[in-house]
Parts: sequence; structure tokens; C-alpha cells
Amino acid sequence: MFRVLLPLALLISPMLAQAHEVTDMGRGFTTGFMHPLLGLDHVLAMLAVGIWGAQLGRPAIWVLPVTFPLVMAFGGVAGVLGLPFPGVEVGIALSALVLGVLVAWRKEIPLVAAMGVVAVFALCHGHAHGTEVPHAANPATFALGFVLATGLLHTAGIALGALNALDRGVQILRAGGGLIALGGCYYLLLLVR
Amino acid sequence: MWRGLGAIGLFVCAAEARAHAFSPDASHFYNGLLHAFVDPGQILLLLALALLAAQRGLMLARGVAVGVPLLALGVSLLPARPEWLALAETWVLIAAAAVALLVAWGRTLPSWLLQLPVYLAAVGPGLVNGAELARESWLIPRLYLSGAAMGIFFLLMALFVFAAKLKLHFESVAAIGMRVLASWVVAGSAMLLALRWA
Repeated sequence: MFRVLLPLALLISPMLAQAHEVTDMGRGFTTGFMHPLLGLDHVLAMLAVGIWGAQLGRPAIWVLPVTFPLVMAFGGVAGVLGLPFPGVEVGIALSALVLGVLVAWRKEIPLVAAMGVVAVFALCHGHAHGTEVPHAANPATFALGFVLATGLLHTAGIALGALNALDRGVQILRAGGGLIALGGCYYLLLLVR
Repeated sequence: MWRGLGAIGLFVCAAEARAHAFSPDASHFYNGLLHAFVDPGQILLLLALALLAAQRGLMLARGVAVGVPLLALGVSLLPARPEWLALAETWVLIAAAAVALLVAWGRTLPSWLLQLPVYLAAVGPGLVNGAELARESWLIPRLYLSGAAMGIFFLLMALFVFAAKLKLHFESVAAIGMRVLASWVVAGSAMLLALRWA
């Protein structure tokens, strides 16, 4: 009885909470964290990196998600410093297309080649995020936010890659790769149009 | 019955919270304690050090747990100039990237080669804390810097215990996770470094 009454009392008597006032630090982090999540092209490519790594197995399962942020940082630094990177949006759309095709194709390729593919696209994504950094409410926490969100998307991709172990998992993942590639096509067409 | 009514009464009669009343006496120590928790560069460095300690075992962990806060405190007590702050903050970020790179790389290295970057890294937060402080009296800086060293110890230990527990219970996943997390630290540090020069 009281177990029900107590939460009810909690629900009906909240007062205005003033503990978590929004500061530039928090706003910068939130904006940075949401930046990769709000762009579907980013989300598709990041998930594909994780899924592809999981499909290729060890050591690619950790080498690809480690390579991506390391190289992305170079792109991000270029973006922060205002260095031009022609065709960065095309590169991002292509990343979803190419990585989606690789997941759907499920072809074993040498680890170094896989790292190279991921590294090229990481530069594009990093530059796109890095360009936004100086305009953020708090650039430092914005940068940490987008790095964290990117890494978590890779982790989500790796977790989806666990479907490989299920009966129909391989087919589901390959179909997912196809959908990611279609998404990449859509973003590429938007840019060309 | 009374217990329930009492609890409801407490919630209904809740008044303005005064838990965080400002006490000037404790503020210098507490400001120092909080410093490691609010400075993104120090958070990244301590995370990298905790990951390295958890990855490389107890010998290094002992050195990190005791040596880093003490060395930081020692360096912070040296005479410092406010102009050194920018250099010290750059040092912290480079050290964070270097230590995290060691974790992401994951190669077995001689013990001295692992300890060297750890202690070089510990100089960074000490320089930052020392340079940040206006030395207007004898007591205030010492309270602040003792708090800062304590903050470094607490944050380092919290991160280390978390990483070590994960490694203990989920060894294979944690080994991968630490390297992935370390690569995020490298990327974050590189971005913050770029911001310093932008």
C-alpha cells in the first residue's frame, strides 16, 4: 500500500528543480553529442563501421573502431583550423554507400585495406564535425561530445554485429548493409541534384 | 501507517533546498578538489592514465595511484607564473594523447618505458594547478593545491577501479573496450589541442 502511495506522493509534489542549470559547458557537450546523431548520413556510416568490423571478426572488430576516431581527429583538426576539404559532403554520403555495400557484400578483405577505407571516410566525417566546433557555445566540450557520440555509434554497430551469431543474423545484417547503401545513394543524389 | 504519512508529509512540506550553502572556509580546498572534475584536459589525461594502469596490471597501477597525485602536488607547489598556464594545458593534452595512444596500441613494453610517460604526464596537472593560482597568501594556495591533488587521486581511482572491475568480469570485451575508449581519448585530446591553436 505504502509502496504505491509513496511514489504517488513523489509524483504529485515535485517542486521546481534548480539543481541542473544549463551552462555553456553542458550546452556545448550536448550540441556536440547530438551533431553526429542528428545527421542520418553520419549515423548510417558509423553503424556500418561497427557492423563491418564485427563481420570481419578479430582483430578488425576493434581495429576499425580504433582507427576511425584516431584518423577522424586529423580531419577534425583540419576543420577547426579552417583548412579546406573539397567534397567533404560527397565523401560522407559515399562513406554510407561504400561501407553499406561492404557490409552487404560481406567480402573478406585484408585488414590494412579495411583500415584504409575507414580512414579515408573518417577524415571526411572529422572535417564536417570540426568545422562546427569553433561556433559552439563551448568548443572544447562540443569536440568531446561528438567524439563520444561517434564512438558510441560504432559500439552500437558492433552490438548489431552480434546478430551474426543468430540463424538468420547474417542475412539480416547483409540486408541492413543494403539499406545503409541505399541511404548513402539518397544522400549522394541530394548533393548531385 | 505513520511511516507512510510521515513520508508524504515530508514531500508535501518540502521547502527551498539549502544544502549547498557556500562556506568560504572550505571553498579553497573544495575548488581545488573539483578542478580535476571540471577541466576537460585533466579528465582526459586521468582517464588515459587509469586505462593504462588497468590494462598493464597492478605494478603500474600502484605507481599511478600514488605517484601521479603526489608528483602533481609537488610540481604545483613550485614557484609558477600565470603565463605558463597555456603551456601547461598544452602539456596535459599532449600527455593525454600520448598515454591513450599507448593504451590503444596495446603492445607489451618494458616497465620503465611505461612509467616514464606516466610521470611526465603527472607534471602537467601540477603545472596547471600551480600556474592557475594567484599566490596572495600562504594558506589559500596550499588548501587549493591539496584539494586539487586529492581530486586527481579520487578521479583517477574511480576511473581505475571501474576499468579494473570491467577487466576482471568481462576480460575479452574489456580488453577491446579499453583500446577503443583510448582511441576516443586520443581524438578528444587532438581536438582540444587544435582548439588551442585555432
